[in-house]
Amino acid sequence: MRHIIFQLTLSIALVALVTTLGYYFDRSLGMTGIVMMHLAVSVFSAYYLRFRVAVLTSLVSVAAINYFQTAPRYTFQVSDFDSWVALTTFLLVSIVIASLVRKLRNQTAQANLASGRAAFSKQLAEHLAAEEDVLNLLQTSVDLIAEHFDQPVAIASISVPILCRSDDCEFAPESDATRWVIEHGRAIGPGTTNWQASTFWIIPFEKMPSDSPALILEVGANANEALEYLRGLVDQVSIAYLRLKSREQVRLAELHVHDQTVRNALLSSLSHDMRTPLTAILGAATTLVTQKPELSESEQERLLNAISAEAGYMRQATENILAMARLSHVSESSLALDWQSPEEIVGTLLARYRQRESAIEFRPQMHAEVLIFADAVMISQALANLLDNAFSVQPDYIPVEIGIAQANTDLAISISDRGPGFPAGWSLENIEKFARNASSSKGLGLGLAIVKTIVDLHQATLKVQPRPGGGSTVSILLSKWKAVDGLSAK
Amino acid sequence: MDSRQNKILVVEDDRQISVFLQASLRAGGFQPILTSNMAAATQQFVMQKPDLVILDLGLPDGDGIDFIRCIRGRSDIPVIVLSARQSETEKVNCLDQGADDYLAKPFGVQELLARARVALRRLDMMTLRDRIYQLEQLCIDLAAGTVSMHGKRLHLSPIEQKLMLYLAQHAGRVARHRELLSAVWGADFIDETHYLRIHMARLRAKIETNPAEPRYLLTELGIGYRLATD
Repeated sequence: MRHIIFQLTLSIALVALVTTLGYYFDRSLGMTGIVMMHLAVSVFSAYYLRFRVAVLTSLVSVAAINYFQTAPRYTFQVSDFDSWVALTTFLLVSIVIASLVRKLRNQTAQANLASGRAAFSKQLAEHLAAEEDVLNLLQTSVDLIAEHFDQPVAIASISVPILCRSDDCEFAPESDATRWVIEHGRAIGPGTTNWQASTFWIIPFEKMPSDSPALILEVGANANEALEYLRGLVDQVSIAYLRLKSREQVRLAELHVHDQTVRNALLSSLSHDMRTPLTAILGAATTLVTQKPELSESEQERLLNAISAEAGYMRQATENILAMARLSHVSESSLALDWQSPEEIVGTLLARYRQRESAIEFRPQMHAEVLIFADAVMISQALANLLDNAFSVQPDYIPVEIGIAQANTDLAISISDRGPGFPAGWSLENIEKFARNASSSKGLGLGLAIVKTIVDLHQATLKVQPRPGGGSTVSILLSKWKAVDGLSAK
Repeated sequence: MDSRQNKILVVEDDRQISVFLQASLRAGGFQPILTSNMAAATQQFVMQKPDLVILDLGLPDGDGIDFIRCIRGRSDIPVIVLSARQSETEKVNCLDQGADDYLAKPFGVQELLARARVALRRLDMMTLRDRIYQLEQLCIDLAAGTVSMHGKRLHLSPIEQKLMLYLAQHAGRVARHRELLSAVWGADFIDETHYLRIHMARLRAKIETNPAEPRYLLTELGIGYRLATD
């Protein structure tokens, strides 16, 4: 019903129809009936057509009634007073109706607009509340606002010219303008106090200088009323954005504190691991250097043995520190992953521990040749740490056992001891916490932290179980493995 | 073994380590020549004609690797590298550049002396006429290309035999994964390490009494394999 010519044609046609009816059914309708029909056309025009068209319709109706119905007929002259009153009243009533209807219609439109905006605002709020990720939040906002306004939308920050944009958005906003908006915390575009000629609104998330982003919307047809509403929407997005940002900062801060705690725990565990053997070595060596003549041969030998033994322990502690330092830089992608034989890995460990005359027994429970997809050196290091832990609690005369077995879909390499088992309340989740309290048992905390890191890097699982008959079994469960029994290697 | 004392050129800039190397090498029956930088080492190398070089990588006047490159141009002399650098790629790099063996600091005296003896014996082996590897029950005749245990000839697949002979030619030295793959399977196969693992496992099953704790075919994790010489 928009087009003016269509509206005019429609109104004239309706008046012509009613006039024709009046002309042919003059007797049966009577003057009152015909005027009522014209009035009906006026009311229809007032409601559905433009105000000016409605007024014109009324005037044409008056003219038609005058020409066809009032005496003298077929002239525009009005002879009697009654007809004058009737025509004038008709005109007045129809114009009053038209203006009343216009008002009503405007109010309805306003109400519809307001309820539509309220509904959108609610919808936006619901979406914003559900978002957990900053970028997703911005993208959702952009998509919703673009669809709602039917205009391209983007969000920009000082460092990133376009953080996200709606599908239909092809504009490249001037980064200088965006920078100005963000640095001053003031909007630009039509209706604002800045750069009214701009074809974009750029509205900052925060109303003060900040480094938060700004929203950019291309200015549409009915620009004037939209600005305040848009500001309201940007406020909504901004609040959600700042909420996520601050949550992220809190999380980072907590992570940092956690890191720091773990580092301190490891450091205290380390300094114990280093100082104890060093003290023993220094003591024994200085005794030998300064008091050699007073020492018997057997005493000298005992001191020399102590130096050698403690140096051996220190070597292990140093390896652990270096391993930990190295692991803190290792990511999954820097592992030397390849198909490796677990039997070979265990074999090198057996050779190393046999040299130290440690009692150790290998009990593979698989007959097929298997390969694991892993970093052999890393896995060997993890197993060595588990073995060291096992030996530190194992009674001398019982061997520590290494096993390879299939556990459900995983391949398990496990180390079993007959020690006192892990303390009550111990769990893998608080390895770091345990490291802090581990100063009494040599290296246990740091060793397991290394194992856990290596296992995590391999996306494998570490499992600790009590053993029937006493002691515990610690297993590394690897998911990437294959049996090569029937493999026809070239 | 050779009746005369083997000369060992030691290139090490840390004084305490030099002191202990000198003492332990002399006690082990060698004649150590101590130098603390590359310039002196090069000079001593030419003048003294040592039988073995023990080389620290971090030297005051250069990287030990350069020294290996320099002497590899004119001599097959065994080189054992000492280094505090830890990574396996570093070790492989040393071997690639021509080092025969690699010892990570800290190391024990026994370990060093054993490696030194192995390296010297390899030199003897290379000059042997009959070219026969013999250790306990295992005997490999390089000329005939046969492998026997307890005096009985073993039936090996062609791949296993090639592997075994290659390791025997370089007995005592670490053969890197890629080196073995390229020598046995060909240059296109240098990344197919699982072939190597499977065939090593089968070789061990035929040769070793306990394949998990090999006596002959030793694993150098992350680097390669070594055929034992003692």
